[in-house]
Amino acid sequence: MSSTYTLATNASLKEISTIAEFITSSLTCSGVMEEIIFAIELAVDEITNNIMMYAYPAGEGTMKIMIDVSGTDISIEIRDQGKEFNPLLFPPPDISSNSDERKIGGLGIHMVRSIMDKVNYERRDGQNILKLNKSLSGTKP
Amino acid sequence: MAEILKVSISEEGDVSVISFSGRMDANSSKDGDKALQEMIDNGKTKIVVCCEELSYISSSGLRILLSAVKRLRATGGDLKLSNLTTSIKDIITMTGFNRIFTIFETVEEAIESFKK
Repeated sequence: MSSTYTLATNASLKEISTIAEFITSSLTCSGVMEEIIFAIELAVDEITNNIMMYAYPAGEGTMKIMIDVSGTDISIEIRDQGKEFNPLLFPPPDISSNSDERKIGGLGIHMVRSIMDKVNYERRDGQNILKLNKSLSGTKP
Repeated sequence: MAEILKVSISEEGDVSVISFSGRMDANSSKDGDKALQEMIDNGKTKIVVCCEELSYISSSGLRILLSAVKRLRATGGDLKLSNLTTSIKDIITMTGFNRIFTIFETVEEAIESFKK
């Protein structure tokens, strides 16, 4: 059995709560465990914040979030029509460094990579398209 | 409606305890940042962040904690974390922030550690 959920929204900080509620309600409806929902909400939050900051640096635009839950696989696609921006090009943070050396950047995408099993980016038809996959039979939290 | 971030501050001798309740995301972490930076502006050097009621933290929330601890340590102070829930602890570990912050089970233990 497969379930699909879609949210089209403004890429605006004001919509963070709406996005969080969309993720939680969609995955809850599909019977996904609470800790997995928490992790996926975090991953989508990090991606959508990057879109707000880097794809639409001059102001608000729109974005679309599509979730597909099929058996034990969760697929999420996030599209925007902003400036070309590939978050996977962020250099990974050195998570072993202490507070003095610790850099601020790249933390969000590191969290996304840690949570999800697969993360892919493509630029097509003037859109940034980020695809996230998580298998519920995997071992990540 | 999703939760917002609530901030409460108390003093235990020369240690300040700031408790965050709710969500610390890109929007609400600004309130947390303002509260922490104001405490440091006002000369507080020993700060415990109680996370017992903190239900969510994104990289935006982690950044404000990092910014505060860097500022405090530069002047001989420190910021310590206490009462992390399992979800928050997982995020702290995933990002290596457990190597940056000293973490305590309770606020009392965190306060006591400043006296040693």
